Amino acid sequence: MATESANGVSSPELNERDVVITTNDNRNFTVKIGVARVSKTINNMIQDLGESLDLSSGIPLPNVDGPIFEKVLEWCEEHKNAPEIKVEQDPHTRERKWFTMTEWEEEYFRKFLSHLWDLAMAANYLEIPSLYYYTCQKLAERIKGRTPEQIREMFGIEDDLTEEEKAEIRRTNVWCTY
Amino acid sequence: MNPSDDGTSNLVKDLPDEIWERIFTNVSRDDLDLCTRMCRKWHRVIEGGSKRLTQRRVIYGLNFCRDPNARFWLKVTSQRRITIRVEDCPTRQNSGFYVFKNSILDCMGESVSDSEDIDLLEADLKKLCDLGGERIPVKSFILHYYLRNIGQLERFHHFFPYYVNAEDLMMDIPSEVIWNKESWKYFDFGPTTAVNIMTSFYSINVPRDVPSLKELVSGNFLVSPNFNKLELSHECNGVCFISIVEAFCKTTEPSKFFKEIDIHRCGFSEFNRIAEENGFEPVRQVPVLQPGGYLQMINVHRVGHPKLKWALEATMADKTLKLKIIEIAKELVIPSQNILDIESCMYCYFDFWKYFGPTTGYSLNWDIKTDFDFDSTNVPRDALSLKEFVSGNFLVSPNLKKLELFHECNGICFISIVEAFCKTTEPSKFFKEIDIHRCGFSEFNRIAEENGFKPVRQVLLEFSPQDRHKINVHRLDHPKLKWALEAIMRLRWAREWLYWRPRYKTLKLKIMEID
Repeated sequence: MATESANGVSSPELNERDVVITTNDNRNFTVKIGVARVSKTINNMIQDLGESLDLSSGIPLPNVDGPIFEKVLEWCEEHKNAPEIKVEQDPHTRERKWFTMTEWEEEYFRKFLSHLWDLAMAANYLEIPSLYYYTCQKLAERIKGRTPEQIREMFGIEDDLTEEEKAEIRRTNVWCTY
Repeated sequence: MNPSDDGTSNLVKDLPDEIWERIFTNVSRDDLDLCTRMCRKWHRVIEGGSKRLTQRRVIYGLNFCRDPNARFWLKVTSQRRITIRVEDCPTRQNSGFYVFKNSILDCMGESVSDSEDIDLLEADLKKLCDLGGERIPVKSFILHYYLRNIGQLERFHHFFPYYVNAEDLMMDIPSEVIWNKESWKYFDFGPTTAVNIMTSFYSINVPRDVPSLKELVSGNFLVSPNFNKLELSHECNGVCFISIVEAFCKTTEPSKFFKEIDIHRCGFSEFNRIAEENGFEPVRQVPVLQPGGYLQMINVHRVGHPKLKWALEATMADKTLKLKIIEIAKELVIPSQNILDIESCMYCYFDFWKYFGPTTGYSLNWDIKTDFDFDSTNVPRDALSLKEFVSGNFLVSPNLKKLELFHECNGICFISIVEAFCKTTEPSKFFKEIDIHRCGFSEFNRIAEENGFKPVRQVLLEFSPQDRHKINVHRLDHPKLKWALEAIMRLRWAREWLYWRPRYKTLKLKIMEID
């Protein structure tokens, strides 16, 4: 946040300006800088470019495609003023405490249920902690407390372990009774 | 549900390890035990020395047995009700059998209660440690064994850390040991083990023990950096209390002071006067559960340290005086003290619904999360879950027997259950028995009547040999089906120190078919 006024423009004004972002399928998105900055990756690019930032020629995103970026932008728009997420864990079990999601967030994930992994990949690349952690939590919901058969079906997992490997796993982890 | 134009089967392979690792941070160790055997990639992520996957398996049941004619064996049970049993036999050695790896025991202590012999205690711990594969990881270790003299304490201090890795250690120490300064160096169990001491303070020894008490609590003489709580009993005239206050006002290092001191069975009645005379002032009020299950607001009294930014807070409830030391600068981060232990929400058990297998009738213990301020965000959410859960309509198991709930405070559980009962279409799937412990509401009769219950008969209940009561059984009939719900409100007894005392109310609900 130290170099927010890199362009000699104060931060609130800069946030209102538009920037063009180009995804890997050559689609151009015109986005308010304040929204694009929810992504730390984009924020870093804007800061690195500093003076030389040409708002109209755009920022290329070689690892994200248009349809996914559209969904990500929807999240960024909603979360542009959101505080940093707090990651907490239970001191005894050391399990991560689950985030409580807002109505909007629940609805968002309901809408894009079939794109969770694309969202996770994009959020990881774009460094959007809220989207990344929440998507991972959504995916973990499909594991938590379920039976092995349900998990296998849910993720379409092929059992590629040999009998020897399975025996070895059972030997080193006595709790793995499945 | 399953997306899959792009082929879900590749999902596991396509998603990078890093993201899988992040996903796995959200699930319990029990879940990881399943996932690790799903496929090669998951196994690599989970067992590959990840520093992020630190979650520990919670072990609830720990049993062991030493029979002169049989082998020593150890039996432990996880949250997912997986039970591991290890027997001591010659071939087992060095087999890499790590039962305790990535685990933590909820509580340990009952099992050594019969030990009369400190050698036997050591031998048991050593065996458990050997069988489990590493130092026994325990959240709270309660030493029921009564260490009779300093020699025994020294022995215990010597071997305990070798076999047990305890986050909390609770010890019952006789007064002749604790008030002898020679013993104090044996209370240091390292910075990661918080030490809690229970002891007695007899008035006949006041002149001798008071100086010791002052020095002990002051922390100036102690080796241990991690004293947590001191519990005293049999105080009779305020001498302990005044000594502690004096020690507090004189201490130069309040951070070494005992963090909490409880004085049980306080025999003095004029706490308010004594507190005032010693410079305490009432600063706020907290709700406290009284014997019989009533909530009462009680004053918290506070005295500030004369020079440093620390304060001592005192509350007197039910003949127990609770003292707590507080750094004033940090006060805001210390939650306002809730005397009752209210924790864990039911929703985490929500996921377990499907594991109440079809064969056995489990008894479940649930804590419902409610705040005394009634601003709890969880009540609306959990009340809904509760209704669905008791109704049995969502359950796989045909054999759910009993549900035990804790910390009901305003009748919300009770009313939710009644509503669920009136709406259920399959009462045979309903929980057969529901106990609500620690009921905080006093107007059971009124609430029951408002919800359509009628007293139908009386039963004689024995609370203690001297105390028998006739109690009304209230009944509510199902609006359509030939089923009824019966409710009794009774008083529970609990052990405090060495005595049984009435502690809290339990509402018992039972569902039955009417012929």
